Amino acid sequence: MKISTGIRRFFVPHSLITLYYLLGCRAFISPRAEVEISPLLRIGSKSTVSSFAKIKASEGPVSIGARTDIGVGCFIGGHRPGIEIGDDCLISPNVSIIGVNYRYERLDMTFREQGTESKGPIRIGNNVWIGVGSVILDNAEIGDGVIVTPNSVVSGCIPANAIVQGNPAKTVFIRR
Amino acid sequence: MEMTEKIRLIVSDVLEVDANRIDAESHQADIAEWDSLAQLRLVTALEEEFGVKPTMREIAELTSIPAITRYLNISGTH
Repeated sequence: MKISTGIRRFFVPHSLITLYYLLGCRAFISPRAEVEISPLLRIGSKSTVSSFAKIKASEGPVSIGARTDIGVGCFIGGHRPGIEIGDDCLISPNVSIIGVNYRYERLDMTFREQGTESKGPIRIGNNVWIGVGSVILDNAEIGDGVIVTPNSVVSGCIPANAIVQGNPAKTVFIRR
Repeated sequence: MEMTEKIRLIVSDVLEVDANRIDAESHQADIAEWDSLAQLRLVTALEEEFGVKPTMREIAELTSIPAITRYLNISGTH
Protein backbone atom coordinates (compact mmCIF):
# COMPACT_ATOMS: atom_id res chain seq x y z
CA MET A 1 0.00 0.00 0.00
CA LYS A 2 1.29 3.46 -0.83
CA ILE A 3 2.01 5.74 2.13
CA SER A 4 -0.41 8.35 0.83
CA THR A 5 -3.11 5.71 0.52
CA GLY A 6 -2.41 4.52 4.05
CA ILE A 7 -2.61 8.05 5.41
CA ARG A 8 -5.88 8.71 3.64
CA ARG A 9 -7.31 5.39 4.70
CA PHE A 10 -6.33 5.40 8.37
CA PHE A 11 -5.98 9.01 9.46
CA VAL A 12 -8.73 10.91 7.71
CA PRO A 13 -11.89 10.80 9.87
CA HIS A 14 -14.96 9.38 8.19
CA SER A 15 -16.97 12.44 9.11
CA LEU A 16 -14.48 14.56 7.17
CA ILE A 17 -14.91 12.34 4.13
CA THR A 18 -18.68 12.76 4.43
CA LEU A 19 -18.25 16.52 4.51
CA TYR A 20 -15.77 16.47 1.62
CA TYR A 21 -18.14 14.69 -0.75
CA LEU A 22 -21.18 16.61 0.47
CA LEU A 23 -19.60 19.96 -0.25
CA GLY A 24 -17.59 18.89 -3.29
CA CYS A 25 -20.01 16.64 -5.11
CA ARG A 26 -23.35 17.09 -3.34
CA ALA A 27 -23.22 13.36 -2.67
CA PHE A 28 -23.97 11.80 0.70
CA ILE A 29 -21.43 9.29 1.98
CA SER A 30 -22.46 7.67 5.26
CA PRO A 31 -19.86 8.24 7.98
CA ARG A 32 -20.05 4.48 8.47
CA ALA A 33 -19.08 3.77 4.87
CA GLU A 34 -15.48 3.13 3.83
CA VAL A 35 -14.79 5.55 1.02
CA GLU A 36 -11.46 7.22 0.39
CA ILE A 37 -10.77 10.71 -0.81
CA SER A 38 -9.09 9.73 -4.05
CA PRO A 39 -8.47 11.34 -7.44
CA LEU A 40 -9.51 8.02 -8.94
CA LEU A 41 -13.00 8.19 -7.41
CA ARG A 42 -15.76 10.30 -8.90
CA ILE A 43 -19.23 10.41 -7.38
CA GLY A 44 -22.05 12.29 -9.04
CA SER A 45 -24.46 14.77 -7.56
CA LYS A 46 -27.16 13.50 -5.18
CA SER A 47 -25.75 10.00 -5.09
CA THR A 48 -25.62 8.16 -1.78
CA VAL A 49 -23.33 5.55 -0.27
CA SER A 50 -24.87 3.72 2.69
CA SER A 51 -23.40 2.38 5.89
CA PHE A 52 -20.80 -0.37 5.73
CA ALA A 53 -20.39 -0.03 1.99
CA LYS A 54 -16.80 0.00 0.78
CA ILE A 55 -15.52 1.66 -2.35
CA LYS A 56 -11.90 0.91 -3.16
CA ALA A 57 -10.42 3.16 -5.80
CA SER A 58 -6.71 2.72 -5.15
CA GLU A 59 -6.07 0.26 -8.00
CA GLY A 60 -8.06 2.00 -10.71
CA PRO A 61 -10.79 4.55 -11.47
CA VAL A 62 -14.29 4.26 -10.09
CA SER A 63 -16.94 6.55 -11.51
CA ILE A 64 -20.45 6.71 -10.07
CA GLY A 65 -23.07 8.82 -11.78
CA ALA A 66 -25.66 11.16 -10.36
CA ARG A 67 -28.59 10.13 -8.15
CA THR A 68 -27.23 6.62 -7.76
CA ASP A 69 -27.71 4.78 -4.47
CA ILE A 70 -25.13 2.32 -3.18
CA GLY A 71 -26.76 0.11 -0.55
CA VAL A 72 -25.64 -1.15 2.81
CA GLY A 73 -22.70 -3.51 2.78
CA CYS A 74 -21.83 -3.17 -0.90
CA PHE A 75 -18.28 -3.63 -2.08
CA ILE A 76 -16.98 -1.87 -5.17
CA GLY A 77 -13.39 -2.83 -5.89
CA GLY A 78 -11.78 -0.66 -8.54
CA HIS A 79 -9.14 -2.09 -10.83
CA ARG A 80 -6.90 -0.80 -13.58
CA PRO A 81 -9.45 -0.85 -16.43
CA GLY A 82 -11.95 0.84 -14.13
CA ILE A 83 -15.54 0.65 -12.99
CA GLU A 84 -18.22 2.93 -14.37
CA ILE A 85 -21.74 3.16 -12.93
CA GLY A 86 -24.31 5.39 -14.57
CA ASP A 87 -26.99 7.75 -13.31
CA ASP A 88 -30.09 6.80 -11.33
CA CYS A 89 -28.87 3.32 -10.47
CA LEU A 90 -30.09 1.34 -7.47
CA ILE A 91 -27.40 -0.93 -6.07
CA SER A 92 -29.10 -3.02 -3.38
CA PRO A 93 -27.45 -4.16 -0.16
CA ASN A 94 -24.52 -6.59 -0.23
CA VAL A 95 -23.83 -6.27 -3.95
CA SER A 96 -20.22 -6.87 -4.98
CA ILE A 97 -18.72 -5.23 -8.05
CA ILE A 98 -15.26 -6.70 -8.46
CA GLY A 99 -13.00 -6.10 -11.38
CA VAL A 100 -10.23 -8.59 -10.74
CA ASN A 101 -9.75 -12.33 -10.66
CA TYR A 102 -6.89 -14.31 -9.26
CA ARG A 103 -4.93 -16.33 -11.75
CA TYR A 104 -5.00 -20.07 -11.16
CA GLU A 105 -3.03 -21.78 -13.93
CA ARG A 106 -0.26 -23.01 -11.64
CA LEU A 107 -0.63 -25.81 -9.12
CA ASP A 108 2.78 -25.11 -7.59
CA MET A 109 1.92 -21.59 -6.46
CA THR A 110 -0.72 -20.14 -4.18
CA PHE A 111 -3.43 -18.03 -5.78
CA ARG A 112 -2.00 -14.98 -4.02
CA GLU A 113 1.44 -15.62 -5.56
CA GLN A 114 -0.05 -15.93 -9.03
CA GLY A 115 -1.55 -12.49 -8.75
CA THR A 116 -4.61 -10.96 -10.33
CA GLU A 117 -5.74 -10.03 -13.79
CA SER A 118 -8.52 -7.96 -15.34
CA LYS A 119 -10.02 -8.60 -18.75
CA GLY A 120 -11.64 -5.21 -19.06
CA PRO A 121 -13.66 -2.45 -17.43
CA ILE A 122 -16.97 -3.00 -15.70
CA ARG A 123 -19.66 -0.76 -17.21
CA ILE A 124 -23.11 -0.35 -15.70
CA GLY A 125 -25.50 1.87 -17.61
CA ASN A 126 -28.16 4.31 -16.43
CA ASN A 127 -31.24 3.39 -14.41
CA VAL A 128 -30.01 -0.10 -13.54
CA TRP A 129 -31.39 -1.95 -10.54
CA ILE A 130 -29.06 -4.59 -9.09
CA GLY A 131 -30.72 -6.92 -6.58
CA VAL A 132 -29.43 -7.87 -3.16
CA GLY A 133 -26.41 -10.09 -2.97
CA SER A 134 -25.62 -9.98 -6.67
CA VAL A 135 -22.09 -10.11 -7.99
CA ILE A 136 -20.85 -8.16 -11.00
CA LEU A 137 -17.59 -9.56 -12.31
CA ASP A 138 -14.64 -8.43 -14.40
CA ASN A 139 -15.45 -7.13 -17.92
CA ALA A 140 -19.22 -7.16 -17.35
CA GLU A 141 -21.31 -4.70 -19.32
CA ILE A 142 -24.86 -3.94 -18.24
CA GLY A 143 -27.11 -1.88 -20.48
CA ASP A 144 -29.51 0.88 -19.49
CA GLY A 145 -32.71 -0.05 -17.71
CA VAL A 146 -31.59 -3.55 -16.69
CA ILE A 147 -32.85 -5.38 -13.62
CA VAL A 148 -30.47 -7.93 -12.06
CA THR A 149 -32.47 -10.17 -9.75
CA PRO A 150 -31.13 -10.98 -6.28
CA ASN A 151 -28.09 -13.23 -5.92
CA SER A 152 -27.32 -13.24 -9.63
CA VAL A 153 -23.78 -13.34 -11.02
CA VAL A 154 -23.14 -11.18 -14.07
CA SER A 155 -20.00 -11.72 -16.09
CA GLY A 156 -20.87 -10.85 -19.69
CA CYS A 157 -22.96 -8.39 -21.66
CA ILE A 158 -26.53 -7.72 -20.65
CA PRO A 159 -28.69 -5.92 -23.24
CA ALA A 160 -30.65 -2.82 -22.34
CA ASN A 161 -33.95 -3.32 -20.50
CA ALA A 162 -33.29 -7.00 -19.78
CA ILE A 163 -34.31 -8.71 -16.58
CA VAL A 164 -31.63 -11.29 -15.73
CA GLN A 165 -31.45 -14.04 -13.19
CA GLY A 166 -29.05 -16.73 -12.03
CA ASN A 167 -25.42 -17.77 -12.03
CA PRO A 168 -24.41 -17.06 -14.71
CA ALA A 169 -27.11 -14.44 -15.17
CA LYS A 170 -29.37 -15.17 -18.12
CA THR A 171 -32.04 -12.98 -19.65
CA VAL A 172 -35.50 -13.92 -18.42
CA PHE A 173 -37.37 -11.09 -20.07
CA ILE A 174 -36.87 -7.86 -22.00
CA ARG A 175 -38.87 -4.96 -20.60
CA ARG A 176 -41.03 -3.13 -23.07
CA MET B 1 -55.38 -29.75 -28.14
CA GLU B 2 -57.81 -27.38 -26.47
CA MET B 3 -56.31 -23.99 -25.63
CA THR B 4 -56.91 -24.19 -21.89
CA GLU B 5 -55.18 -27.57 -21.80
CA LYS B 6 -52.21 -26.15 -23.75
CA ILE B 7 -51.96 -23.23 -21.31
CA ARG B 8 -52.19 -25.59 -18.36
CA LEU B 9 -49.27 -27.65 -19.64
CA ILE B 10 -47.19 -24.56 -20.43
CA VAL B 11 -47.76 -23.21 -16.92
CA SER B 12 -46.86 -26.57 -15.42
CA ASP B 13 -43.71 -26.75 -17.54
CA VAL B 14 -42.54 -23.19 -16.80
CA LEU B 15 -43.23 -23.44 -13.08
CA GLU B 16 -41.72 -26.95 -13.00
CA VAL B 17 -44.66 -28.33 -11.06
CA ASP B 18 -46.69 -31.48 -11.54
CA ALA B 19 -49.37 -30.84 -14.17
CA ASN B 20 -51.97 -32.30 -11.78
CA ARG B 21 -51.50 -29.24 -9.57
CA ILE B 22 -52.64 -26.92 -12.35
CA ASP B 23 -56.29 -26.93 -13.36
CA ALA B 24 -58.47 -24.74 -15.55
CA GLU B 25 -59.14 -22.32 -12.67
CA SER B 26 -55.60 -22.12 -11.23
CA HIS B 27 -54.48 -18.70 -10.04
CA GLN B 28 -51.05 -17.29 -9.21
CA ALA B 29 -52.09 -16.90 -5.57
CA ASP B 30 -52.67 -20.66 -5.30
CA ILE B 31 -49.25 -21.75 -6.50
CA ALA B 32 -46.14 -20.79 -4.52
CA GLU B 33 -43.84 -21.34 -7.52
CA TRP B 34 -45.77 -18.77 -9.58
CA ASP B 35 -43.84 -15.70 -8.44
CA SER B 36 -43.13 -12.49 -10.34
CA LEU B 37 -40.09 -13.92 -12.15
CA ALA B 38 -41.96 -17.06 -13.07
CA GLN B 39 -44.67 -14.77 -14.46
CA LEU B 40 -42.14 -13.26 -16.88
CA ARG B 41 -40.84 -16.68 -17.90
CA LEU B 42 -44.43 -17.77 -18.45
CA VAL B 43 -45.14 -14.76 -20.67
CA THR B 44 -42.03 -15.54 -22.72
CA ALA B 45 -43.27 -19.11 -23.18
CA LEU B 46 -46.74 -17.89 -24.21
CA GLU B 47 -45.17 -15.48 -26.69
CA GLU B 48 -43.18 -18.30 -28.26
CA GLU B 49 -46.14 -20.68 -28.40
CA PHE B 50 -48.90 -18.32 -29.49
CA GLY B 51 -47.05 -15.42 -31.12
CA VAL B 52 -48.58 -12.80 -28.82
CA LYS B 53 -46.85 -9.77 -27.36
CA PRO B 54 -48.71 -8.48 -24.30
CA THR B 55 -47.96 -5.05 -22.93
CA MET B 56 -46.50 -4.72 -19.43
CA ARG B 57 -49.96 -3.84 -18.13
CA GLU B 58 -51.46 -6.92 -19.76
CA ILE B 59 -48.65 -9.07 -18.36
CA ALA B 60 -49.55 -7.95 -14.84
CA GLU B 61 -53.11 -9.17 -15.42
CA LEU B 62 -52.24 -12.63 -16.78
CA THR B 63 -52.19 -14.20 -13.35
CA SER B 64 -54.58 -17.11 -13.80
CA ILE B 65 -55.43 -19.75 -16.37
CA PRO B 66 -58.83 -18.12 -17.14
CA ALA B 67 -57.19 -14.67 -17.56
CA ILE B 68 -54.58 -16.09 -19.94
CA THR B 69 -57.28 -17.96 -21.89
CA ARG B 70 -59.38 -14.78 -22.22
CA TYR B 71 -56.36 -12.77 -23.37
CA LEU B 72 -55.41 -15.32 -26.01
CA ASN B 73 -59.00 -15.53 -27.28
CA ILE B 74 -59.19 -11.74 -27.59
CA SER B 75 -55.84 -11.75 -29.39
CA GLY B 76 -57.35 -14.07 -31.96
CA THR B 77 -54.97 -16.91 -31.18
CA HIS B 78 -55.99 -20.52 -31.87
